[in-house]
Amino acid sequence: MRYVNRFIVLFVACLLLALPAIAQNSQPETPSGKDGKRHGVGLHYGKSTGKGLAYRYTHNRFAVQAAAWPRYNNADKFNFNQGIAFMYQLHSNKYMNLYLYQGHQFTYTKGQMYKYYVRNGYYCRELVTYEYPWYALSMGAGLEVEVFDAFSLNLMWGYGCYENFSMTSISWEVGLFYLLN
Amino acid sequence: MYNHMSIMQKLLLFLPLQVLLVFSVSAQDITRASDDTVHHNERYGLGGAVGSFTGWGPSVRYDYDKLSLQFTYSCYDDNAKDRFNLFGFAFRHKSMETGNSVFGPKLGVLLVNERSPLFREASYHSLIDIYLNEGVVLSLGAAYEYLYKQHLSLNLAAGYGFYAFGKNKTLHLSFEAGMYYMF
Repeated sequence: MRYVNRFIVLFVACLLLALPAIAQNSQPETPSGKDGKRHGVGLHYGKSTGKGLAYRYTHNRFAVQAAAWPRYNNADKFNFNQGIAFMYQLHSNKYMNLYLYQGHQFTYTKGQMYKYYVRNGYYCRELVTYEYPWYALSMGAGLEVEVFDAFSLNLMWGYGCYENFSMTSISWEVGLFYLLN
Repeated sequence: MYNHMSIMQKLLLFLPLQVLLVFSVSAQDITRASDDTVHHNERYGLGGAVGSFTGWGPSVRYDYDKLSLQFTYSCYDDNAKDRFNLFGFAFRHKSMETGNSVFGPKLGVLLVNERSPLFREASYHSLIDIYLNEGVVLSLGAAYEYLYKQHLSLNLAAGYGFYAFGKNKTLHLSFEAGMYYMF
């Protein structure tokens, strides 16, 4: 029941964002990406669309973006962060694009830590292994701004469910891409 | 009878009057434009806002001629322990326009619902209490908008707000900043 409530909140929030999109006048198809550039590589940091090195592919009004950041620390901690986002361009002009996005993020953390406890009056510690597989889902709007012709700055905001739907909150993402043909 | 009414009920009675006031001012302009068979300026905006007029978070806007409606909503829910909901809506009238700048009065209503557990240490035991913060902020002030490159709208608003949270009722300054992509 709790999850149903969160889905309703997320659904209403997304509907709120989508209303202008539904109501807008139809526009002619725009070329892929800025100045017809389809591919973009860069850095991305998001609460629900992944962190790290990112790649974006644009086709007409649609775009897909992937970001990943694997980390490994002296065998006692492994963290893998993978995100993917799907975008649909709502409006475009010479300087910027407005789009809707849906983001997915998978985070896997595995590590070891000491657990402290008292036994027979003595302090003891035990090495335990922990692992957290987390999934996040988000939806919202994004703004792509052209910077120095070759770069694109992306700002995204919306609503998301985090930590396997145990938390609902606002999501925000930022990215900088170098555009390739 | 009237004395037994809560502050929320009083505000709910007062609110439609204010909304009606802003709408009636705007409606005059809309009617005038219709008579002159002028094409209505209808625009939509997607962006975000921060302030006490409508709260903070993702925001949508709808402009129709000289009237502008704005909705802002933000939420947080962590396992149903900590949670808050901020829902705000605002009306703005475009009274004066010079170049890319727009001025006008703005009325904002913000509904706040916040709930979180409080941990207190007493006699070596942790007592759990619930912190509840529910209320309404009613703001009235002046708004300024600057349209950059015909699509990026930067908004500022300042005025006075009536903050009603439980038994606390305060009249204080109210501000808001917002940014929208208009299309």
